[in-house]
Amino acid sequence: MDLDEIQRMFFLESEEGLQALENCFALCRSGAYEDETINTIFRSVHSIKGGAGAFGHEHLQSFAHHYESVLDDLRSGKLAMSPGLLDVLLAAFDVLSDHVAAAQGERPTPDDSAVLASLAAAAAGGGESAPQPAAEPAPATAEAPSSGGDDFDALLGLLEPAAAPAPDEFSALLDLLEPQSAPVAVAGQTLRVRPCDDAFANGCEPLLLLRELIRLGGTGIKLDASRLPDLADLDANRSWLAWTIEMPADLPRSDIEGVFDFVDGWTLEFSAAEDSSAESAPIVDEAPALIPASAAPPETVAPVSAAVAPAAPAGAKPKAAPVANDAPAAPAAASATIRVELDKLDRLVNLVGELVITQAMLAQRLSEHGLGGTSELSSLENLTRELQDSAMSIRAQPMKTVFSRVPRIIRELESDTGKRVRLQVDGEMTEVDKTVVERIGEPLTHLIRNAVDHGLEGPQERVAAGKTEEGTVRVAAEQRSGRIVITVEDDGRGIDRERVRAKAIERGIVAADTPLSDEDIDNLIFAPGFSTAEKVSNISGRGVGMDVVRRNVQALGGRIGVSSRFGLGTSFTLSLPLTLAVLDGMIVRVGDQTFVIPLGNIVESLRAQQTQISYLGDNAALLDVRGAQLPVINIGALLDIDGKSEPDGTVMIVVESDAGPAVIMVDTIEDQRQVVVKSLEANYQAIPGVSGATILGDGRVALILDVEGVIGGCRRRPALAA
Amino acid sequence: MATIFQLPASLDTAAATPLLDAVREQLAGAGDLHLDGSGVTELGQACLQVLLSARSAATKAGANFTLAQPSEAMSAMLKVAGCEDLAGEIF
Repeated sequence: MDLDEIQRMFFLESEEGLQALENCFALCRSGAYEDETINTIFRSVHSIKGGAGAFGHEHLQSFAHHYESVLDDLRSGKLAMSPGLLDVLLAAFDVLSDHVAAAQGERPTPDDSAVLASLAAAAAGGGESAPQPAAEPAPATAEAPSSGGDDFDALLGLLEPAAAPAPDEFSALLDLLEPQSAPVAVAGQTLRVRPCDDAFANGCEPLLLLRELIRLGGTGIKLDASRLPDLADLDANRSWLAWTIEMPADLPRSDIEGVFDFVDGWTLEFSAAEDSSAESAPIVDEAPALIPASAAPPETVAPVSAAVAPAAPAGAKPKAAPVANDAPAAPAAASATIRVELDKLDRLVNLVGELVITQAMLAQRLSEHGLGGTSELSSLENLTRELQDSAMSIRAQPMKTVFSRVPRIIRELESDTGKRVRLQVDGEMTEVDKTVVERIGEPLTHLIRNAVDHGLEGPQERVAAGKTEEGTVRVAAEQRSGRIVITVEDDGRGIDRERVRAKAIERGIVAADTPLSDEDIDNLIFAPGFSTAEKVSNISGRGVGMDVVRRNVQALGGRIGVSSRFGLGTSFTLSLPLTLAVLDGMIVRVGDQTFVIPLGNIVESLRAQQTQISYLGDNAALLDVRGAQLPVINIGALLDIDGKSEPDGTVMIVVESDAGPAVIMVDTIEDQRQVVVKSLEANYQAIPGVSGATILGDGRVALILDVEGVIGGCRRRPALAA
Repeated sequence: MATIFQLPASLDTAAATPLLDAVREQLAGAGDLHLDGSGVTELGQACLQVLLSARSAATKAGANFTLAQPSEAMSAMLKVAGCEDLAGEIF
């Protein structure tokens, strides 16, 4: 595993940590939090800090350190949770997320000075409210108080060059306010650290981890260079050094081990401090850090990775139960999941797809020999379907991964617009394919921004309209007949149809005399270039948003709809396929070609009489479907295939699209089944009107029609060769 | 007059092998090793090992080893690594 991989894992875990934080803060906001919630917040921030230190992300580490200090005070009861403190913690959480993004190179390093000042003020406020006996007065100068000042000075002196280059007033302030909480040199446990021989090959810089130990309160660091070869024999790319360092007695071992979360094969040995004057005592597993054990043997020899066998120091008396009882329960729970590279998963899904195709071929071949009804074949079919479902479910992820970003978006919008928003999230555990999860974020973000910026009224306007000051935005996901339906709705002012219509006419999107239904007017907001915002804001209102949203959703094989009641609110509904890898389709034939029409688009199929067809010019026709005149699209003519051109004997398939209903004319319907989608773009090139391809049971390749694209194209070029 | 070897700014893992070659050459040639650390902005364990081993080699050979004017960054990492004594020492 190289540095990049380890770092990727760190960032992945950081993202998970940030999600956990978001969930915990949601509990805090609702008031339903417990001590464990605060502990989880602390642990998540702490682990981000540890990893940041290991990889040299100074800004992230420094910020996480300050954040963690305040959380620690909250955890230990020195600070009490209050709405004001929660606001500070939430602001700090947002900055922490930005720092993580910056460390990944996704954005510049955020300016955290204001939030750091708020954190310092919050911590100082807590210090006042919680009585601290014998607390030192808080001097503004860097001079430490005389009592214990030497140790403290030494610590600060040691930390300063290693910390952020700027003088760290925050740390000094916090520590000086509460010297008893500072990690002064109360040596309680000696840690011996030896990087594995190939520590550098893993891309790690051991000195950065040592520095992190010092930040945790480590003192008296001693270098052991006894293994260092002579200069003539030295291999500069191997690690030869080891260190011992005194760690504070009250520092949980898990905190120390956390520093080494992202390195493999290192040897860590804990033993009681050599300078303890107390007598040896039996080992108490619950509180190993408190063992006053001058004569106690090294307690554990713990290589960081299980892959490296621990080397017990000479003379050490191995414990009967080397597995530390104080190990948290989390690892046991964590072992229930494993990380798998996406490539491997995709290969599995691909192979299952091939299996489905082969199974279909086998079924066809057997049926040609009159063996289509054998029970073994139907068992194989069931098993294949189950295998396919299982493989797809591995790629499925809960919508929670997308929804967890929503609270932050709302917070930012609240501060930008001055509106007050209550967020309601439903169905966050609804699972969809990873690709859908990855690509739905942007459209969803835009819809939410739109809901708050355009949909919700300001507090005064709401009160005047008889509503609560606080607007509600509801984001929901649910599975409905093989698709996922995502709803973003607000209880704001609703779409002002008169204004939308006027704007559309003004912009030339529709003619002034065009009769428009309410639904038509609502859909105008998806027209390219449409915007009703009186002034362009940085939130939304550039008029490029909603049509881009619709295009993105369509690219996912989805549809977007809007419904609105003036004065009461607006609801956007996105309907997306659960997966992009398989689809249910109708297999149709045109001439000698076979096509697949996605079932999601099909409303009905029928045979038409010549009398139901009305011709408009030479190559345009309309089919009368129970009174509605729908344009007829001749796929054969459109794609230059020699198919039937007369309605007699053909099949008319009524399809639904964003451009409205239409009729696709095909020669025959062959079958209806689930097909495995193969990307044309990846294997050949994009073809207008075709969204992909599949392999049929008889081995032929069938193109999957992009109904939206076909109808959109035909609006410009209606085609029915008369 | 003794030659002073100017240490490069970045003494990270990648710099360790070139540094090793340079100090071996220096010790084999001039005998003494006089290093100037004023321009060092980064110091990692791999290079630290080279410096420690070079000091030891110089001592054994009865030669001089000095590390003069270590930069703040270098001093800080020497402190972290528990070998502040490397700087300024003359053998």
